[in-house]
Amino acid sequence: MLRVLLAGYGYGGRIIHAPLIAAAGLTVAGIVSSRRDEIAAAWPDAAVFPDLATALNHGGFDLVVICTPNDTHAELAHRALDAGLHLVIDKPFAVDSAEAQAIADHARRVGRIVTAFQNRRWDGHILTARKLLGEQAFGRISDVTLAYDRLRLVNPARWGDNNRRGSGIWLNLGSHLVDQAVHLFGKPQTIMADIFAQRPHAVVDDSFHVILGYEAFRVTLRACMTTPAPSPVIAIHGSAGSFVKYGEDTQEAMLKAGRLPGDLGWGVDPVPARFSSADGEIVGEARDIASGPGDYPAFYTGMAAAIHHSAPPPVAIEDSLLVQHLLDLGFASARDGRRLEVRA
Amino acid sequence: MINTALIGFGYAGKTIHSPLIRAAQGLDLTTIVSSRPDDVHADLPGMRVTTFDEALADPNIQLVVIATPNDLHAPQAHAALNAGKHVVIDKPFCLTVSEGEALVDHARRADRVLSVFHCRRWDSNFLTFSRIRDRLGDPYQVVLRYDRWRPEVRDRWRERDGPGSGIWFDLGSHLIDQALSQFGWPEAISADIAPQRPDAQTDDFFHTTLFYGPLRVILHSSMLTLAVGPAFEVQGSNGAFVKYGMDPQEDMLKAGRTPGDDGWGGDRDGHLTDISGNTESIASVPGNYLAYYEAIARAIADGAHNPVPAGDALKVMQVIEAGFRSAREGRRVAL
Repeated sequence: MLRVLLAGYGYGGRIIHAPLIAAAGLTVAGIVSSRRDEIAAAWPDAAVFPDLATALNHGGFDLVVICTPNDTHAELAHRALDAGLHLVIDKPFAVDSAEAQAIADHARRVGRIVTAFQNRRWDGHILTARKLLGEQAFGRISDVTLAYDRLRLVNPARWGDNNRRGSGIWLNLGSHLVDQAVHLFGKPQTIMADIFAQRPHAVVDDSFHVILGYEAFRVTLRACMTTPAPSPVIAIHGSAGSFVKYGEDTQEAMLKAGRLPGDLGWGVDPVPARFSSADGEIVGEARDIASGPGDYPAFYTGMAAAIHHSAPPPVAIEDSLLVQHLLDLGFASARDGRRLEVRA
Repeated sequence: MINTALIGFGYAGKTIHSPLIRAAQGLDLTTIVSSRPDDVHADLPGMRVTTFDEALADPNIQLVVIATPNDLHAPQAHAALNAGKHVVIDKPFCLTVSEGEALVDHARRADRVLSVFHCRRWDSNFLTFSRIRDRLGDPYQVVLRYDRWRPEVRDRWRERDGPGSGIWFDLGSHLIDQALSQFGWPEAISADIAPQRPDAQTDDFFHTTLFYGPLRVILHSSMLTLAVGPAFEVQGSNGAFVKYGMDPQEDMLKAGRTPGDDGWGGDRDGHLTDISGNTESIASVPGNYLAYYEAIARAIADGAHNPVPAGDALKVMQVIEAGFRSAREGRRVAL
């Protein structure tokens, strides 16, 4: 059993990582946090440490999971690698490409696995889109949109109300959508970004509209916190079919509600997706298809396989470096109002 | 009655303008200029068909409606103004801002009504939104969409390469006019305008953002969309309005229905979702293109308000040009 040290017990550590780690058959052996009592109740077998250095000195871990504020990822990652541990870093992997590259280089030097926690590759609709893409169900793709539409008229506390480095929606939710685009479609050629503070009291970016240009189609990534009637989370349009799904993946809501992976109905989405087909001008019938189920535990199962059996890590470091580069370019594009080329 | 000559009997002339002019109170369609009189007579037996010059020389004709390919709009409008006619031009107004400025100036000097047929201000979607707009609070995101499934390129001037062709001129002008009418003059535009279908000869896709402070108005059109999105979507601080489906009037005209007949312009419901997540059906205000031509008749006869002054259309031309520049240079363009 892999022994995991969880660095950070905020929303991500408590709600997302700890239950998923346990569900995948890994052991939550230690947690770095000041929330000693809370942890004693929820994870009685986990040792609690006041800081990462103390935990690393204590030893006895195979893998560190970093789910602390974004601007601390890099420093903690280097410490964990210095201690010879494998590493999972919550998204966004780092705050910029320079940080991300240094982490990747360090991991290669010490021969350890480092991977970004891009759990939303295992969203139900993304798994279904991958399956349809594998079946060539779309023919020639013309247009894709991935979106986070929410209604949060008041700034949420988690990332919206401060302007410390690494805050804002583009890094925090954009990192999911950019990764989904890279996962589904590979590297884009261009990026044109609009990233801005939209709500009256927003102090950091809380809305984005970003267009990734591929050779024959565009992928639009959008997030807006002021949408009473959210648009689809995914829409893929092609010459042979359209795939449209409303409603976010259910797993995060299930985790928040205390449901665990393996529970009956885990990751099942009650809102079906819709697939519309056509052959040339002849339009076929639209039909509902199941979306998912989603499978976040696959990330940690994959990480265990990477450590034990040298399987490829669940998210390739090359993908994470590309995602970080695209996040950097997005900021630059939005600042200058220019479409930018993505490096070869 | 205002005697009216229709210039051009292609799709727009035959299907849209001719029946609307004939149905409009105060207008009398007396003359059609077409190089294909047989087409006209098949549709309208006995209609007088003349050349453009003959129509302009006819002192009984007061109003000239120009529904020819876009590159002819400016020269024909100047000629009609020189002949002392009032002029309606199908959208888009013309090819360039400078052409448009010259036309606005000419109409002012000639003291004639010059108007552009931005009929989609009388779409059911647009009229319905205007009625419920106050309930939505401050708008944050608006998407105006022409999604269609037309995988094959058609052999018609709008889809051939040439001055004034392409979808940004053709459909973009409608959506720009709707946006300017509702939200005013934007600060900037960022546009992606491109040929999307493999055998497209001109642009047949656009995805454009108009910037207004915290509001973004997105204008989108694709001919390769099977599962079309909402035609009209407004997300505001107090609620969202979402309406699927294009205004039905063009299809009604194609089907030969008489504008203004029983049930004219009737459209499916839209939906208003409030910030508690409650959704209610919103009955659509029927579309009413006839209102445009009847207002034109009053503008000419009584000096009433021009329903779409050429100055409005000039602003649309400025946005069209800025959009092309933005797409070509890959940058946001200040307006």
